[in-house]
Amino acid sequence: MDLHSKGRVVHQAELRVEPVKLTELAAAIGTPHAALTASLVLWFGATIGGDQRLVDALSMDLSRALLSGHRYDWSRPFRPGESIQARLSVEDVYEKGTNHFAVLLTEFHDAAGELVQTQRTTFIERAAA
Amino acid sequence: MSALSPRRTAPVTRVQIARYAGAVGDFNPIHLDDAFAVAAGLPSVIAHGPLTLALVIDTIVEQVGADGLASFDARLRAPVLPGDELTVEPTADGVEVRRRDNTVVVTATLIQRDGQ
Repeated sequence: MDLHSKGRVVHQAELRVEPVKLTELAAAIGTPHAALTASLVLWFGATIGGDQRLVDALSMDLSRALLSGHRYDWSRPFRPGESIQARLSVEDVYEKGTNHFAVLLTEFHDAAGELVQTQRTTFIERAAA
Repeated sequence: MSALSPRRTAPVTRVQIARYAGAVGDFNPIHLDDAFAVAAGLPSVIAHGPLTLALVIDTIVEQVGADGLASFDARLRAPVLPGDELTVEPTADGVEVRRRDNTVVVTATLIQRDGQ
């Protein structure tokens, strides 16, 4: 893992909260109130840039990498049909023992520039055997 | 702040994992291809970590609503397999989640929104 990738912006994109995607996600969750949950967890930050873009930005070895933590901070749920600006960046990269960790920060702002939610995803890359 | 009650999810299914893969566009074979997962040292395919978290968050949304959650900070401690029911137990500052064999799969702290 590249310990100098801290601060790097991996990807920025304008996204639309697609009603059909909310419906698909709610179907995967599969409970009577799943539509509400889907409006909180529609996107998983780390996949927004595409796996390869993320792997390249961190120089991460996927065969030794695991998702170890994920944090959501919500200002409000997503609204069907709205436009969202997403920004994915490397918040931190550090070593602990023989393992490397990377924290990916994804920020979602609405058309008025208001923050809708942030996600922080922690990957652990274990030491090579 | 509302006190949460314990919840148990329905068993995780392979169809559910496939639906989630399609909904978010994550087709990593470790979630979809048993042969690949076994070669990686797992008993079978595993649920996506964020799917597991969505199922946990869903049990909280059921109790406080989507507007009632301000923050959810989770550590993923063990994989979730098809057939696992997840028990979600409230703790002092969040929840602890176990799979069928009692292994802790997720611990999380959560903050409810003021006024909820």
